[in-house]
Amino acid sequence: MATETETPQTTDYELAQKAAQGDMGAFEELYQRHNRRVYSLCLRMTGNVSEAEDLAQEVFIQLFRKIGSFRGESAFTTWLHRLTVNQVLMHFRKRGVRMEQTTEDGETPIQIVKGTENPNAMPVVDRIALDKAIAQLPPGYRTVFTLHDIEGHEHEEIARMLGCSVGTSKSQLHKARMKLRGLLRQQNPS
Amino acid sequence: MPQAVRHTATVTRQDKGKAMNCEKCQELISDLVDGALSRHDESSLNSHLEECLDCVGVSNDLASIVSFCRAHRGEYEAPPNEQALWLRISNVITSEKAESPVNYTASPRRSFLSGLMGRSWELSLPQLSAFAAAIVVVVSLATTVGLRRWETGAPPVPPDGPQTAASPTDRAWQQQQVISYWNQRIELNKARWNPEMRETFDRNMRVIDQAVSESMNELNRNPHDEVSEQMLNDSLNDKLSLLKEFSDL
Repeated sequence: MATETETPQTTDYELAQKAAQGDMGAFEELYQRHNRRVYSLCLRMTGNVSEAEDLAQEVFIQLFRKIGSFRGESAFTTWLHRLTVNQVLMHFRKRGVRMEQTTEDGETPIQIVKGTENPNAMPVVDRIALDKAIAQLPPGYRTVFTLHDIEGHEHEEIARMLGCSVGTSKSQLHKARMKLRGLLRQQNPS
Repeated sequence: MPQAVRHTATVTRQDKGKAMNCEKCQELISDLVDGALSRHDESSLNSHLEECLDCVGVSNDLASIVSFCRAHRGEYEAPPNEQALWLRISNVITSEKAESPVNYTASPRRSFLSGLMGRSWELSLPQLSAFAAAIVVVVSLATTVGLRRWETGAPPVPPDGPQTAASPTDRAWQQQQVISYWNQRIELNKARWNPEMRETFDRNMRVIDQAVSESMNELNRNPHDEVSEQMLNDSLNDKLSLLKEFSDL
């Protein structure tokens, strides 16, 4: 039963059922509850405000079209999350965004860190710096990093979503973290 | 720099063995941070970390990135204009529903009707008589009202009913919200435009704003003027189209 986000009166599942009957008030309530979650995910996966807004709009339109098929077997948020991720991935495919794949040689080699005078030069991580750095990641790295480190998915789930192997997911995550580290150091060199 | 293992992108032959160790070590650091290392790998990694400050630095940095993300999981950012985004969404849904209602889930009224049609009715004689009498009363009432309207020449009620539609000012307000969203997007792009494009945009916008203002004034004087209402809607739609077109440039 989907009761992850509850108010004293109405659960997400109940609102979804009402929305499936054409109740726009119920659908608006669902929008109010979840638009930030959807938008944030789109923003982190695309790294672009306008794109994220357009995608969030498309997600909610798709949600309205498909809401009748939500049976409450999983949490509404999980269902909506999956819908959002799929929408962003479809968008990447339509736009021809290359999802970095790990090859034997490694497409984007990680530069082994150089010795520095101050090996602990990375500044203290903060939200603004991290978001800025995430936005600069290549789309494939950004997707895996967002799904794993920000959204908390396991590699097995990510591999299923992206249609790749668990090893590829792990490898891309490591590369994404290393690239992020480099970007954070560049933002605030000490 | 202490005499720990030095790592460079271009590795010298003498350093190659150690650099490879660092490469292997740094590959494993992500697994270490995620707690997904085998005991054996963890032990070799720790031995390397004891003598390599650079890899310790990498390990610390990745750990702080990951722990920051974990600590802030569930914090969400709001869209720049939540209300305008909702209006865009509801406008699309409303227009899609109007175009192809069959694509959407049945409305309660249709479900009720199909329920009535699909149901098998078993009525007793008194129930049947009462039902027939009710139909006769409803039909006579409807005929009487219809005849009176025809005699007095009262205008027919529009099919959508004035009481169910939003007032013109409400609709205009909603559209203004959407317009203000697109205006914000335009403002972001405007700096990139050349003077000619800016002049074209401003000229078109002046004409449309003039039309909007005239329609609003007319509606203030006469709130039931359908022509002014239509003109206001058209002008606002034109404004929206212009903003959308230019926001992509």
